[in-house]
Amino acid sequence: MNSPIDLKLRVMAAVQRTPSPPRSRLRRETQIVALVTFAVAAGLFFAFDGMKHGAGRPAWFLAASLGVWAAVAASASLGAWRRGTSFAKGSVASLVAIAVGTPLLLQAISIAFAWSHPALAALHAERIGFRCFALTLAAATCPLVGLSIVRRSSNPMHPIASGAAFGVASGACAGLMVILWCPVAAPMHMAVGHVLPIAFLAVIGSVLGHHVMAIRTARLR
Amino acid sequence: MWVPPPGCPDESWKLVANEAMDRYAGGDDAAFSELYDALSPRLLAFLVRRTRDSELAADLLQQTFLQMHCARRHFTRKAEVLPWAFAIARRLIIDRVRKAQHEPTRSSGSSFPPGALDDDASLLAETACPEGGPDSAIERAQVARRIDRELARLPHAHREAFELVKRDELSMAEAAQVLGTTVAAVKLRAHRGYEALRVALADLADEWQVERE
Repeated sequence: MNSPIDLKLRVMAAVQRTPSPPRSRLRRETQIVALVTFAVAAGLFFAFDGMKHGAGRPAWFLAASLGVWAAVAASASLGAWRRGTSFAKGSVASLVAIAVGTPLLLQAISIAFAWSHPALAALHAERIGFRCFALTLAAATCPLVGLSIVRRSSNPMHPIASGAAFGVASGACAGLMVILWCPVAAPMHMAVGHVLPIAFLAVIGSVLGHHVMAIRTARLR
Repeated sequence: MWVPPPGCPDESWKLVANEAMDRYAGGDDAAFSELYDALSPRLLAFLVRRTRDSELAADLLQQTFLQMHCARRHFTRKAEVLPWAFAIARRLIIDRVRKAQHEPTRSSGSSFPPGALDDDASLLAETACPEGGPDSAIERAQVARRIDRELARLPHAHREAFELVKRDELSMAEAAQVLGTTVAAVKLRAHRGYEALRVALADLADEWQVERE
């Protein structure tokens, strides 16, 4: 049996042996991840010809695609990364809704667009979308891994659902750059090149959530 | 620092704990001792009640504070620390149970001292069995064990909500945060747990009624 004083001394000693940065570091680390994310996305965009690759698209089409995608990405990001007044960042239902609903919503929007503008959707429809798939994954890796590490061992509630929502939000944000780059609006291309990587990132995010963000017992020193 | 014991209606300790955690998250390392003093009695009671093993509970208490220390930068400004601490402790229990290959924590081969085993059930027994009821220590212990057995029979979600609200004295909102659900869901689960317990212990209530008359 431990006496209360012994127990307190043990806890205090364990805490003193374990370095833990204060709150001010969180903001700095998040800013670094955001900066690196932006730099990586910009680097990838310009490495693959930038705006030249998607030249010839009507301005309204580009603006509409970006606007709709940005709105969905912002909603997913707010839901996944928000910091409310409570430590619980959202119910498991809302996190699962983000993880499952966002890719479905984006695919539904692309199908609706193809149905209303068949001529634009038929442009370069033969491109399957492997490059878009790879670009989305590459650009989303930085925010997903970076923010998962920033939030390591901090989620006592729903780490797997949170991780999946993180993955989807990262994919949707990265997809914004890919939408700016890619001229193809065919539903099949959108599914393979733009939506599938987001669903894939949800799976990667849930694994990261389980292994990185979850709180678990450790061997005490 | 004086800390009111569990059961004490004075909730100023919660304000002290919240303020200490806020300072600790901001980098004031000296605030940890205050935080420990304010939270450890309740956390230890919570852990002992669920693990039925004082050594394991002490180990998990240490782990809980260590996790709170490691995650201090994630503590939301002006948030309540008690539900956060309970949620971490609960997660650690679940993790420990999973690591023990899904072996239930409430095992009959407990290493918990028999005298202290039914502390909380005794409190419930005293509540359920006021003056005029069976007043011998043996009877009280039997009632406490019976309550504990009936509690163990409740569905997990109902028992968890009931215990957080009635035994750990968390508010509905705090219990909802610990369980990661809504206040309405906690109210419903705790009420169903209470009703099931009331039905299961109806014979005891009848006995006490007869004795009173």
